[in-house]
Amino acid sequence: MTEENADAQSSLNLFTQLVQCKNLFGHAHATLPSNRPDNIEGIYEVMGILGEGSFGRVYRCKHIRTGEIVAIKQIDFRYDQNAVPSSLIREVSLLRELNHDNIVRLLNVLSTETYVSLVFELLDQDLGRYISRNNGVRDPWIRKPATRYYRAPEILLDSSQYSTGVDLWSVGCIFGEMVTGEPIFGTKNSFDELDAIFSPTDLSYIFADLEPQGLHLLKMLLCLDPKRRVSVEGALKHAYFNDLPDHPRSRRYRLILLLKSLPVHNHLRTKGFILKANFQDHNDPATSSNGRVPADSLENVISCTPNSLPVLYLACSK
Amino acid sequence: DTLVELEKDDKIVNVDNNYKDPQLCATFACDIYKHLRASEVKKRPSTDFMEKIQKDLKPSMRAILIDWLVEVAEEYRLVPDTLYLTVNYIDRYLSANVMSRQRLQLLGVASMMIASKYEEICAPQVEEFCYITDNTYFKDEVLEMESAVLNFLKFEMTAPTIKCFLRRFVRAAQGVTEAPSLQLECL
Repeated sequence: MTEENADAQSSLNLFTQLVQCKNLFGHAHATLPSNRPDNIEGIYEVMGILGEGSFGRVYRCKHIRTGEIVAIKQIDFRYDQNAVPSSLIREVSLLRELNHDNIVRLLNVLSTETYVSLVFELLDQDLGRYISRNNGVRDPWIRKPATRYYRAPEILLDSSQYSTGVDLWSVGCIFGEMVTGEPIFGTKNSFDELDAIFSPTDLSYIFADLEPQGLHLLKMLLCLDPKRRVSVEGALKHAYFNDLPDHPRSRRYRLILLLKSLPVHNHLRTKGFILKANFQDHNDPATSSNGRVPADSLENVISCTPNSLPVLYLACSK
Repeated sequence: DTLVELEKDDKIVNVDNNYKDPQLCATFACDIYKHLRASEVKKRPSTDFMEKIQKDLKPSMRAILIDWLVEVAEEYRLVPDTLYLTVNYIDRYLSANVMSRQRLQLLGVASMMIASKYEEICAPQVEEFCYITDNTYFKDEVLEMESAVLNFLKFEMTAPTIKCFLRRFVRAAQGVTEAPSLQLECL
């Protein structure tokens, strides 16, 4: 079978699944029961809401005594038959294991019988602004790993067999975003997301700016079939990275850092973790002014998404 | 002599050379185990809690509890990792909290419930954990104990167990002999 035929065949199967999953979106979603509290356990003053999902809310808070600004993710399990959910036990246990400059720090866990408050360092002071501008990146399909814009088609199609390839898809999306300055599959919901992914588009037209080798790598990363998608090792050996400029802010350099971060990522995924790349360098006005990576795009899209699965932040530009 | 003979034959086998199976994480297995060794030191129960901390408990009671938990794990077809984690949680909790013999089994089921939630794809329900104690404890008591264990252990439930290391040692041992051992298959 030629490659084109194989593609057509897999697209057909994917289409069947696509139709099935469309039906899933009809379900109503529970609304949050409680209003915003004034404080959390009398230790933190609540200053605003950063995001919300079916698990609960993320608040922007101030430590009453020290004045430290933090993000508190409150997970409510009072309606859960089995009390503390396993996703929560896994998320907190693994965050407790991690101590790295590039990974968002879990500062504290405040636990009661019916809910748990996870106190995180706040990465960006402008999160709230970003959310209100974009009306939140709310997603009816909350129990999916990875921020929707960067979600691989096999996750969107509810495959139970997805593997490390989903990260390579995300890298492809982020790579594309580095070129055009906006999410390449930035859509309102998972169904539109699939629509965008499967609509016939000519990448060479959208990415006319990109070098031919870069375009070739991008196509390998955005391969619909996870089995034929390029591996981390394969991507790192791609000709696009020959004669790599040592300028740390160049597109190729950042891409390589992102690819190299993946092994950690894959290890964590075995327990349902997600790492996300963050290209933003806050102390560097050059990055925000060159228009390639908008001042608050990648990091904020990622860090504000109220996904029930843990999202870690990986700053690649450090 | 034999020792020298053995050393002569000794060749170092790279057990991390299977790049095809993503489950083996060949490229970073070494880092994982380095981390586990460091983590082991932090998540280790004390060795003398029976004498120093516990007043009502005797070592034989802990032995009975663990024998019983082995049976529970078999009954509910839990993976071995769950059982090993359960014992780790029990011992860490007992390292600093005085426990009465009447509540020792409660600590056992609550720890097993947490370990199941952490490790199993499909953890048994709270009711099932009450049922296996012949309903000695109410659901509320199990949930309360779950919360107490999680809080005391500060949600640090990722603990390396004997099982984690044994799996690797067996793999290394088989790398030399090339003979798959049926006795060790159960790991």
